[in-house]
Amino acid sequence: MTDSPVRPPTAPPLVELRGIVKVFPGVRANDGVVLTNEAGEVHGLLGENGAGKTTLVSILYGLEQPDEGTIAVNGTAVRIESPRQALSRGIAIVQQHFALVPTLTVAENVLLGQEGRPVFSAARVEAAVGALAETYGLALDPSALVGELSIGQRQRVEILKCLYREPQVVVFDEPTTVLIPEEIERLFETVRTLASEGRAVVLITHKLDELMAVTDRISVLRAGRSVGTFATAEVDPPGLARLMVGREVKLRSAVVARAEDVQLEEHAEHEVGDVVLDLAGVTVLDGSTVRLDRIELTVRAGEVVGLAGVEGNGQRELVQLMCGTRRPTSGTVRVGGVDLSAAGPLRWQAAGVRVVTEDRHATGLVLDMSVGENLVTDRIHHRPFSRRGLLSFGQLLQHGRRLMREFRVKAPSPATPARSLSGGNQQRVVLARELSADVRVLVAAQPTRGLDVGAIEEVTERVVAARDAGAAVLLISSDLAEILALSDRVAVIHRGRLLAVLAQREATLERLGPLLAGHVDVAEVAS
Amino acid sequence: MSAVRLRRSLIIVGVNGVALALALAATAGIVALYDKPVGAALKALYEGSLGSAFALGTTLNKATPLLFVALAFLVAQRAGLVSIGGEGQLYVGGTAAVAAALAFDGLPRPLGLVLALVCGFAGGGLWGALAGWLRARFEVNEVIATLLLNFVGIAVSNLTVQEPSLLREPVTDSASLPQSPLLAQVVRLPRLVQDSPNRVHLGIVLAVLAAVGVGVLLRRTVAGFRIRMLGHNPAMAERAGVNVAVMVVLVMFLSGGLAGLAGTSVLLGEQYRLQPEFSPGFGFDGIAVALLARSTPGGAVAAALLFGALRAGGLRLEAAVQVPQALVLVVQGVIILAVAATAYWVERTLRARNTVEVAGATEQPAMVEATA
Repeated sequence: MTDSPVRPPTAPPLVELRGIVKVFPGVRANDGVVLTNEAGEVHGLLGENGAGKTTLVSILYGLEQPDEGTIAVNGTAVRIESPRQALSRGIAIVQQHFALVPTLTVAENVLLGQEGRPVFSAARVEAAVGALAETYGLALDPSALVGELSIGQRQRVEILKCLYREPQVVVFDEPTTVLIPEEIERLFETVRTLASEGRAVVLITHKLDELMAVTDRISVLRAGRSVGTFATAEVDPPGLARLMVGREVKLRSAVVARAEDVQLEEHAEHEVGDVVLDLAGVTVLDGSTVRLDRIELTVRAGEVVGLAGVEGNGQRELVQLMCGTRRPTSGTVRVGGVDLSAAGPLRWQAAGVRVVTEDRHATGLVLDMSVGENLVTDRIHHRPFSRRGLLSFGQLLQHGRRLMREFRVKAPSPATPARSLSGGNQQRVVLARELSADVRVLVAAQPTRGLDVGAIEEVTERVVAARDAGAAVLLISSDLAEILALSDRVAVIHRGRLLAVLAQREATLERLGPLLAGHVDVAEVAS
Repeated sequence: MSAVRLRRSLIIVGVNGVALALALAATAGIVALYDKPVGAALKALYEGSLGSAFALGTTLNKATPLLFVALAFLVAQRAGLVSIGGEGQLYVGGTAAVAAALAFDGLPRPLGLVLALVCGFAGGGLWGALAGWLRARFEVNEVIATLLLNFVGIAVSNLTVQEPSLLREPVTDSASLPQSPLLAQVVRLPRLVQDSPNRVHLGIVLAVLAAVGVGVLLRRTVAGFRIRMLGHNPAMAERAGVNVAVMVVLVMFLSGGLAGLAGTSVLLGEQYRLQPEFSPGFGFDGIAVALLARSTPGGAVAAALLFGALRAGGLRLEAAVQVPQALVLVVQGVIILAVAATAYWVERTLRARNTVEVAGATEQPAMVEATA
């Protein structure tokens, strides 16, 4: 950044955390964490899930009290005992999970919690919010209902909520997981604007390329400890990954490159097989709303077809279709030549269609049941898991232990509630259940969302392995990097329509970008 | 894990004990406010509930319908359904049982009684299934459906004893009460102890067997697995091939049937004839029992016995120290509040302990952070 903020060289850092220790029963979530954030600086906070990032943010935001260590704001030691105090000291957080009221307008949501007076002028607030949005390039209509906004727009409302309080320090907690590339780029512009005004920005993420793109310095956490703080210009992604995980990791590009080599070598003798999954003219209506519009798509054995698209463009309905929990209004879906359009979930599973859904909490796991039980939700009525309607506990335990070992699920036992597992381990449970069955078609929707580098590596390897074993893989993702890295062909979905199906070499960021936004020219359609 | 579970159970028992002690202390305080002797009041509570064979029998008989309704509530709750229709189902089931008992009292023992029990279950079950069907078919909230069906069910039951063409006993003079004829000995639930002031009848045995059955169903069967899955995550249950609509209707049938047996046990075991307004709100108190039991069948047995004892003891309390029997209702309320408050505390403590166990077992403390 050329326009670095003007400030006396002796000024203390805006925020300084020293020797933060936070012990939860049995675990030192933070163990001597140091974080110094200068005014005008974008500071990346990197760490795996469970490394202590969330705890550190909770401490900074007054949700948790540190057991040891000091927090200084503007050089003065302070105690932060509640989010309200944090805000009054100029610390604001853009949360990973939005806290918005869908039935209120953008302006009302921004105002919520700081109305001040019982009576206020909606028009004046909307004008103020609108002006603020414009200043930071957050295109939003202040009078729009939040419930009608896209995910990316909702995040902008969250950012506005923070900025309305005029914070000195803005913390972004995993802000890019729900955004498309274009929105990410705009978010980063906002981040840079904030820094250039002399605010301090903390960006929490485990996406290395994002850190490289936008931060000035990066602090790495591992297992609750500060590994170090580095100038972004002096580190590279492989080095950061090593610092974060504590061992060498293969970044996705490397995993895929290796897999591609194998595929290229074997390509001559190991052609992509027959069409296994065949969607013909599939339309899904929700009342009068078109969710899927005459979808034509085939996936062959041993092939990965990536379905790119901004979320909410029909992917969820497609996944429901493949689970057998939703029927097409018209059109047919065939698996291995068998029409499953009218089949229920059990017939879909029997046909070998395995689905990793986009939201493992909602449709992948029963969080309040045990890991062992979650591994058999789809097969509990079969031997050996039950006999004559009675469960066989021994078999359930044994099956649970075996899959936990095979899929490296870290949990004390199959009796552990799925809820108490980390996100990566929960996803391993889902994969273990789906991939331990007979897999002819694998539908993986956002399979690496919210996972750390190590888990992403593993999930990616599993998907590639399923493909190599001859499964037809439909990869549904809003993460273009993921799509591009894994897919043999790329389809783009927008408002329930497939805008294009491109071969791997045709699928470039330049071509996909406009398609994701729904811009399609005549040439595209022809191809 | 069993050691962990044992410790967990011990903690829960201990906490409930503390809650109970707190509640009794509160009762003593209230009695003292009435300017009555506290010692005499507690003695009366004890004597009325456990102090004699008669008292014990009263406690067990009061506990019976409470346990049935508690089981009805918790079965539905495990499937994610909140049924507050116990009272209506109890009336409809009881009425059906009496109708069957009157119709089949010529059959050899115990055929008539068995048929009456089956009809009691089926009557309550159909009343429950009606709410389940409304929910499954028209997305009518089951809380509202079951609540409103209470009024209808009670009215239907009352109607049958007002109408001579239905269950009303022959009207002989203007003083004839609206009630059914007395049930024949052969279709009554037999007393467990003959020729004793202890009037406990077979109902409590059936209720405890039902508790065991519900426990086995929920914990050890495929159907129970699916019920729990439905309760915790309907979307996952659907994915796993559970027909949610059918399951909702079936669970509500089972729930209603259990509540129906509550009415059946009162009528066939104690009152021996159908009268209007025959239940003093067992259908609602049973819900409190289920809440106190934290929705476990075993806990429901214990909580039902406790509430049965309080009801039985409350009768004596009123007579002995001239405090209103309603005081017992206050005690019940205080117990529930005390348990709810302590349950919250236990939940937090256990969660913290679980964290320790998870961390210790995996040697990967970092992963625990997500739960903390």
